[in-house]
Amino acid sequence: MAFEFGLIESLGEERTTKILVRNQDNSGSKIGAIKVANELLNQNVAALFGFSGSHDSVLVGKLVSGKNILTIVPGSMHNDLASFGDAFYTTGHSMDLEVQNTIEFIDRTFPKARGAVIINRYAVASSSAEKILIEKHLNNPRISLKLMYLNKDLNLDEVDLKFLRDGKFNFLYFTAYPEAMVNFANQLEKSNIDIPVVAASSWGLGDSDLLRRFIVNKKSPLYFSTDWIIHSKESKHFTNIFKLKFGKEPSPENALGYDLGKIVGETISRVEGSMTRASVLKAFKKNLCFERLSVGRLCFMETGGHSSIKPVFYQFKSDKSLRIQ
Amino acid sequence: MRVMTKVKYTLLKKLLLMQVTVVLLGAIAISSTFLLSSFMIARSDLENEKKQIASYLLLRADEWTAWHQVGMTNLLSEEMNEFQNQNRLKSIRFVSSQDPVSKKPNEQDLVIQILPDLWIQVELEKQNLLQLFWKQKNVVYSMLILTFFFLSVSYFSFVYLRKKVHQPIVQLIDSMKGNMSGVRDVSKRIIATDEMRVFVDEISSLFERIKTMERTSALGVITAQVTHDLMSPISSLEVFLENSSILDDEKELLSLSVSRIKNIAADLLERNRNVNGRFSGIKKNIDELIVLKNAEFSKCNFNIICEIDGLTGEEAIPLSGLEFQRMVSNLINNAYESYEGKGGVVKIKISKIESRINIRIIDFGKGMAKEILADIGNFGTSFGKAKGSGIGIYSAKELVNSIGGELNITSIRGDGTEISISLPYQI
Repeated sequence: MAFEFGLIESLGEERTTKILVRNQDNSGSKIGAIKVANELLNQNVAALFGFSGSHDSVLVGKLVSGKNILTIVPGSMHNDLASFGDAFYTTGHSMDLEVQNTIEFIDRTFPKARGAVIINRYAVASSSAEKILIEKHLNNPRISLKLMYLNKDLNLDEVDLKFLRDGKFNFLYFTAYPEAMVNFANQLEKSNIDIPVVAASSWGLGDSDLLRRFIVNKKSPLYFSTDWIIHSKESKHFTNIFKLKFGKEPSPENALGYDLGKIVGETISRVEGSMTRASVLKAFKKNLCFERLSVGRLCFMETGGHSSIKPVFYQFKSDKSLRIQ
Repeated sequence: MRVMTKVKYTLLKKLLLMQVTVVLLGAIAISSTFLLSSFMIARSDLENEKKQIASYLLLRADEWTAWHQVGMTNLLSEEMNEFQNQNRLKSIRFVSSQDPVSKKPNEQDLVIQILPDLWIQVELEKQNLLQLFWKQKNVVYSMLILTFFFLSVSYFSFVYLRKKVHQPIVQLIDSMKGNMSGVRDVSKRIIATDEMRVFVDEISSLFERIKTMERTSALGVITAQVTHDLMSPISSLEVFLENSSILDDEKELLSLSVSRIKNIAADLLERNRNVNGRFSGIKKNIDELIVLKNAEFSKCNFNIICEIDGLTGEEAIPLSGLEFQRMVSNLINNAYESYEGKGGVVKIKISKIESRINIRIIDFGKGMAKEILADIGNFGTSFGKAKGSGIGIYSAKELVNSIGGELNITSIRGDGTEISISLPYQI
């Protein structure tokens, strides 16, 4: 919806309708993205866009790697996304940057405090964050982190829960998407564990109802990072036009879709001659920076991979307002 | 200590061999059937197992493929290992067309294509013969029990036959070889039951009779020879008497004596001839004998009462009149002697029962004890007579047996004796 909104804004409705080929998988398959991408490739499309989330992004990245077809995914952070060649891009920042940014925030906000990192091994982003934490940050003498893993029911085992209940930790670091943390959030509420939470940037994209319910019931603060600077001029502009079009407040996900639509629209408008895979890729690389997006200016690297955007931290307040840290 | 004759257990061995062969053939047949069905069941199980694994696998395949593609190798390995252990698989792995060491799947492997160039290959645990066999262990136990049962039956039947049939026969043979006489006594000590007991008794009785016949036959030959030799001097004596000048009274007396001797010799000769074709009317002979015997005992306070029931007078038995009269005469004499000179009565009852003539000679004399009764009738056994030779009852019995008749004695000491004779007859 927001993607098409951004695309139409750039190309106009008629051209958008003419060039856009849609496909989606509603089977719930974990490899639905591959099936969808394969079908589109078989239709000989000139470029692929979409596939939000690290899981789908990485699957598609592997599929299109080496095929020289421009592929842009919205907001995904997985480090592997930088390894699929110079035709594959994500509007998100890297997981390295995500984790680094979070560790720096923790260092600033909870100096010398002990924290528990909650990892959902079944989520790609969480698993990727775990790998980076183990490789780069757990030996940092300035921070004290203990990795705790959710079980198959996405709950924390009683042994670990007891540590939290006994107040052994001063904060929690959620590495997973909010959808994957519902059971654990309920477990925390039932166990009356209320300690500060530092969430991944995906928490800015997830189900806001869940977040609000969780936050309303919490007394201690919840922090999360996001690429979307809510109170910026560009952000406000996007909010206004979105409300005008759809009659409701946009979500962070809408912003990501809109920005991707704008980037694709601008790229298509740059294409000279017939629209082929090569011409579209060439048009994209003509200028790797894109203006007037909801996040403002966004640039990519020639070699492909993550965008230049840097996440900032916000705190959810109980009055539902947000504040930059 | 009895020394058993070494007899090969040929029949028993054959019997046992047949039993063991049947058991073994049965065991082989059951085993073959069982093995064949085991393999078929195992093959079917394997196919079902493959289907089941495939259905489980398909539930997880998408997520595993996703993990494989996004590099979540630790989680993928854990889940695949768990799946492998739960389903007793040899291995489970992703195989790509770009995989440089792509192992070619064998027949038992399960290969599921997930993506155009990506498969999940499952190698099932190979099951050897023993494992397949052991899957049916309940049947194995049943088969072993069955075989054990069959072998036990074979063994016990062998032991039973050896004890109940083989050993009595061997002992009987031993007793026949080691005893010229008294086989019947020895046979009583042979442990035998039911029809084997009857068989042993009958055989020993038969054997003893044959032995006796052998002895009497030899005696008969001598008797015939002596009798034959006597006939010549008797003829000479008759000629001499015919021509002698002695007084008529004396000549007549001597002539009667010579005639008597000649009759006795002729009778002895007749006894040794073939008796086939000899028949005599029983009623006529018994009537004559009763007249003679009543005359003989007329002064002895001894009465002979004869009751003949149902005889027409035409019934003939396969004995000469002299043989029959001698036999009954001897038995009447025995009855008289059982009164020890005090006088008494003997009843002779003759009747027809089906195809036989039944003669009962009953006295009320001193009778015999059981132990005497058991031996009476054997050659040389006598009771209550100072000069008894034991030939009377014995010869009567032999005579009756020789024509297919039966002679039985029942006696109670102090009450009397009954001799029952059953004879075949013709009309």
